Amino acid sequence: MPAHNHIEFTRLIATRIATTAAAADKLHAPAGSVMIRTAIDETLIFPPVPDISVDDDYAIIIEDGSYASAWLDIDFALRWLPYNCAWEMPTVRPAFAQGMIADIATKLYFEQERVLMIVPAPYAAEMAAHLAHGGHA
Amino acid sequence: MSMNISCPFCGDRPLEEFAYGEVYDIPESITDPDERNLDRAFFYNNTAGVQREAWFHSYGCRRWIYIQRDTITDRIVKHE
Amino acid sequence: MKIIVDGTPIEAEAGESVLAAMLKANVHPTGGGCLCCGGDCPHCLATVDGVSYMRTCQVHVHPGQVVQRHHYGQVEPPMPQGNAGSLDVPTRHVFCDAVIIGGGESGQAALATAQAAGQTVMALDANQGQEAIGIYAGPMVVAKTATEMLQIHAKQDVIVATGAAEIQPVAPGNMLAGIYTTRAAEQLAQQGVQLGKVAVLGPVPKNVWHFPITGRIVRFEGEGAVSAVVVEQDGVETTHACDGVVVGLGFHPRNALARQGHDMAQVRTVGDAALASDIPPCPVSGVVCPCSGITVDDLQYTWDSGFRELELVKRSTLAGTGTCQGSCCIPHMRSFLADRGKELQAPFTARPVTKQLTVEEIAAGAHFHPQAETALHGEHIALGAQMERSGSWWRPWNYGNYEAEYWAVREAVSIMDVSTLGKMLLSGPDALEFLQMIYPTNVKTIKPGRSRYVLMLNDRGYVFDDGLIANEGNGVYALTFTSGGSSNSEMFLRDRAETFGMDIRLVNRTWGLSAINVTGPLAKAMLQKMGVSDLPNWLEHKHIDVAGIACHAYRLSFTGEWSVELHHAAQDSVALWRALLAAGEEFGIRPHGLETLRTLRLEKGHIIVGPDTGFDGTARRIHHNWAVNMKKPYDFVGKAAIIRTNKTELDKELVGMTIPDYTPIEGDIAFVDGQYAGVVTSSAWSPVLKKAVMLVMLQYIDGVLPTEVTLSGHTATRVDLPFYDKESARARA
Ligand SMILES: [Zn+2]
Repeated sequence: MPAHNHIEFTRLIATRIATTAAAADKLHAPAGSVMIRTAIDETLIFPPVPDISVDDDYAIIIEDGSYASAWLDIDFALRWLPYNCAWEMPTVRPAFAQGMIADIATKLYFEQERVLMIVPAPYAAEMAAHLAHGGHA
Repeated sequence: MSMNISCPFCGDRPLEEFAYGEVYDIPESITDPDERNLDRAFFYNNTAGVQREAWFHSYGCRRWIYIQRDTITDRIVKHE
Repeated sequence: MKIIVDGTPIEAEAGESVLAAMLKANVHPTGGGCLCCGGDCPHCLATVDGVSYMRTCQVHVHPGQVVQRHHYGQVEPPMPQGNAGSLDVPTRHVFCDAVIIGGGESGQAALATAQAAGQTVMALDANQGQEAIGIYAGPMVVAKTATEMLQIHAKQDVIVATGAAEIQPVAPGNMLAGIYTTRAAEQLAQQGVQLGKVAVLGPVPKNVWHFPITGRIVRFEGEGAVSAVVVEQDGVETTHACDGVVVGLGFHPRNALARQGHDMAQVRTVGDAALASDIPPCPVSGVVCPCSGITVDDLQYTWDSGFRELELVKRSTLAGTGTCQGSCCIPHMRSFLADRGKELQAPFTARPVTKQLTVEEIAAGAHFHPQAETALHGEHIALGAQMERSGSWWRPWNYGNYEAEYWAVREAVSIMDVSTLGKMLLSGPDALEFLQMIYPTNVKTIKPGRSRYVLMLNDRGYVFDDGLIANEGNGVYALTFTSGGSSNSEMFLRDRAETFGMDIRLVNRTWGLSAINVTGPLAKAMLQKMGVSDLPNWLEHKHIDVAGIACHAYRLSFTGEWSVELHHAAQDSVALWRALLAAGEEFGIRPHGLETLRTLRLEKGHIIVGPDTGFDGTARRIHHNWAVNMKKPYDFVGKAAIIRTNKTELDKELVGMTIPDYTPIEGDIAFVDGQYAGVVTSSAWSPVLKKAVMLVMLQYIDGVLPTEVTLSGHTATRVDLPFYDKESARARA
């Protein structure tokens, strides 16, 4: 059972945007930033882009530190995930997926060589412990 | 264990990721609109068969999704 | 080599089964019953190396193995215990198109077909150490291997190719030792077990000293072990003296796994597991279900009681609910019911697990519920806090000195981490309209810069959460919720927004916003000394800087003393916390935990939604009618229910009570003249009032609310709320 005992989560400071689905569809993240659509009407962009324009007068645009993240080596991630996750991972790259991993609401952003694991910041210590342990408990 | 619900936004996920939400099925015998509005609070059918259900994807997008489930076989017959 | 059976060493040979070794030593694992050597019956069960209900015919011997017999019909075996060192059994999830269970001919054929069709396949062969345990909804197949548990998610097919089991004999004496199926006799002989001279009914096993018999088995005779078998043919009974009996009564599909998933279209049986069952003659007498000890007489009693369906006869008698899940009893129960009901019914469903597991294997893949930490978790630990699980969060209960924390709030200044509060931001064209429909207060009268305490009601008019609405201006509202309620409240808000068709934007920022409550009579002076001059007034809120950190400051009070709640970005939380503690040093600052807060708010009569409201706390019952505006022109959630329930007489009410010298536990029952009169929902010793204060959900008795009740032998007296600072002079100072 794979384990990794020196993965450190750091708080992910992002621009969080709640807007209509139509306005979210039109969002473009600047080069060098990552944009993930966490819900039909919610988007996370990091590093933050405070002056992003959103085609919605009522959009909520906030700088947000709700999540913590850590990069995992892709090989380790693909060995570790089957022991902690009951759903199938995407195979295309880049890819975004979210769901329960080790009982924690987790988001994964897959690149070719690595995966950004994003968890609610209050659960980062739990997730780090799961990664160090390898599985369960 | 491992019944899956398909979230239209996130994909196929195990039932454990979702929280159940009632979609009230008010008995047809109650016809007065005000009474129907009120009685969804206190009286509703306990359907044996296909019923509409709302499930909240707590571990994913944190939004409601809707399915139709047969309560007799405990099988999802339709994802809306 | 030697193995230990019931404390006695016996000889064993490498490669043989535990069953064979025991039989050679003249020890029958369960004392008797027809052995099958196929893992289909419960007659060779024993506790092996601490794991009970092991089928000893399927376990190979190893030196020093410890076997304890269960003995048929005796007390329960010990709880299964895993081997030391196997505590961490991992679970691996596998995704594939098809699972094929069984490595025999039919399993191999199914594997070839699936591979030819281009399916990704997981093949499970018990002989290769991959034992299928159960088929669950999904379908998902759970299997055990020597090192891990597998949860296999099959997208297309689950193929059960597990072969067939032999039919067991049912007749008086069928629980004696010395009875074998044809296959068992052959296998045991092959392992060198001396069966003696056996009577053989049906096919003849190879290499067994035997004589053939024919007819229907009437009974087995003997003391402990078979010494004769009586058969009947053409009305004539014949007694055959023998050392044992080998029975070949036909086959039925070994399909317990398929019967677990019988209503799933993806689950199919192939090969012998799909064959039609042989049906034995209707049993007349004897044990039908050895797992549960159910006899033909028991079936007859159930039949006479009116049960006709096989599934119901199973539930009524418990036949088929044991280890073998019907493998022994199904053919006979079907025959019994067909004989009386003239119809052959389908076999009943089976339940996991089909193989014995250790506790560790059963627990594999399960997680402890994860517990959330605020951004200040490390600060609390460093300050010696005793942390407590509170809802999904770790929270400080106290920092080692409850009394000192309490008096710091009452007489000096104190801070508390309230980051766990639910916090959301709302905007959108329908934001105000939406809030008017959700909350029972008139939200329109909350002006920009103002905030208001609010209840959340469900359709039944019951309070399920409380919090704050703060008008941020420009149609934006900041909402707060209880620490435990924020997830539920988010579900509720999103559901109602869809139901009402409201155009809103909503962000739950609970995880990203921390909050520190600064409270106590010296709090204001301390903040002013930190250079904060523009503090909000009572029930106002403002965006201000504290120690250079951007804060959204709310003036309200749950402690009963002057308070300001500072909401701020979680990443700034440690810096703010430390700055406050440093600035407060000269003022005698001390952080306080939940223990202090619970006493303070109780002295002030503030409720905690949940413990104090229960599941049916209407505003009327909890004395919060002031928080419900029935005149505002909106059919807000719960209003219709309130109109209806308000027509009924009030039956119970949340009231304050005191006892001079005794603090009852929360949950204590109140009595009046020996009759139930209510329950204590909150209780604490009040350091400032020097008496116990409590909230009691008190029943009206004959239309009157009692003024005195008895709690654990002590008299409690009803008083007006709040217990302390009735004019709220301290909080609003
Ligand atoms: Zn989802």
